[in-house]
Amino acid sequence: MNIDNAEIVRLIADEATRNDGIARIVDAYTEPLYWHIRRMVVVHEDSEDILQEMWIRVFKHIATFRGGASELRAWIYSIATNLCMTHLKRRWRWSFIGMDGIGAKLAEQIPQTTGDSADSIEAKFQKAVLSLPAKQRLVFNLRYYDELSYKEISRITEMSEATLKTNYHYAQQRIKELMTQ
Amino acid sequence: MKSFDFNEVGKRLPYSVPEGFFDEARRNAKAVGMKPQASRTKAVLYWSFAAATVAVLLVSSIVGMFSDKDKVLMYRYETLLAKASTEEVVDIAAGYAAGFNEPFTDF
Repeated sequence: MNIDNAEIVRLIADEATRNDGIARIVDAYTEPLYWHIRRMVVVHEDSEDILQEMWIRVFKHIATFRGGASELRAWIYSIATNLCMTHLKRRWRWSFIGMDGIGAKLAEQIPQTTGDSADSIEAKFQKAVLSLPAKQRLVFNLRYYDELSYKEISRITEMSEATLKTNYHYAQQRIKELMTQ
Repeated sequence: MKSFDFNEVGKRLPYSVPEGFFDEARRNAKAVGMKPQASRTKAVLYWSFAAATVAVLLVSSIVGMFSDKDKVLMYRYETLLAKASTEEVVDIAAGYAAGFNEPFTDF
């Protein structure tokens, strides 16, 4: 879907057209953000809850959003990403495994959540992605699936673009290794 | 060893969602985010009602400004002044100015 962020920002800035802006932002971002969240937390019910919470936060602050069209997507993704991180930390807080170890726990849940697709190449690929260190996993997902620019990912992760490129490269290498094993 | 080609998987995911999930998620999000817009007629009715309420409150406060005691006092002065001569009126006014709020009952 081709998203006109400039038009959305223009509509939201004016109170008279804000509802129209909100309708467009919801139409444009609900599906991609659900999948972003799902790749992060794996379980559908958790993804649904986080998506709802994300929209509540977006609506709470949208009237004061003064970023440009190029910043809108990064802003929404950063809200979703932070909620995912908080959810994962809270869920595994008593396991003392850290964010990197959580990926392995999530990979274990793939057979339950995918049903018939559990043995598919897609499931194997997701297990490989989930086995990556947390930062690499996030960078890989945002770049590979959501096609965010390194500039946008830098806003979300607060990492330099050079570091992001290195992380993405290592992530690709690691996935290739795991997929050929 | 054959190298893995990312195009073999592309962006496909092993996950699925319940049927109609996205339509419902969009509907729910819009219900939360979109504020109901009052129609012009409703807005006019609202402001008319607000203006009428303010007017009623103002009139009530003016009417109720004088207590029963003040009203009795005013009646006494009116009665007194109707009977008094010009010099007496001057005396009553001077007495009122000096702080004697009660007119002399035995005048």
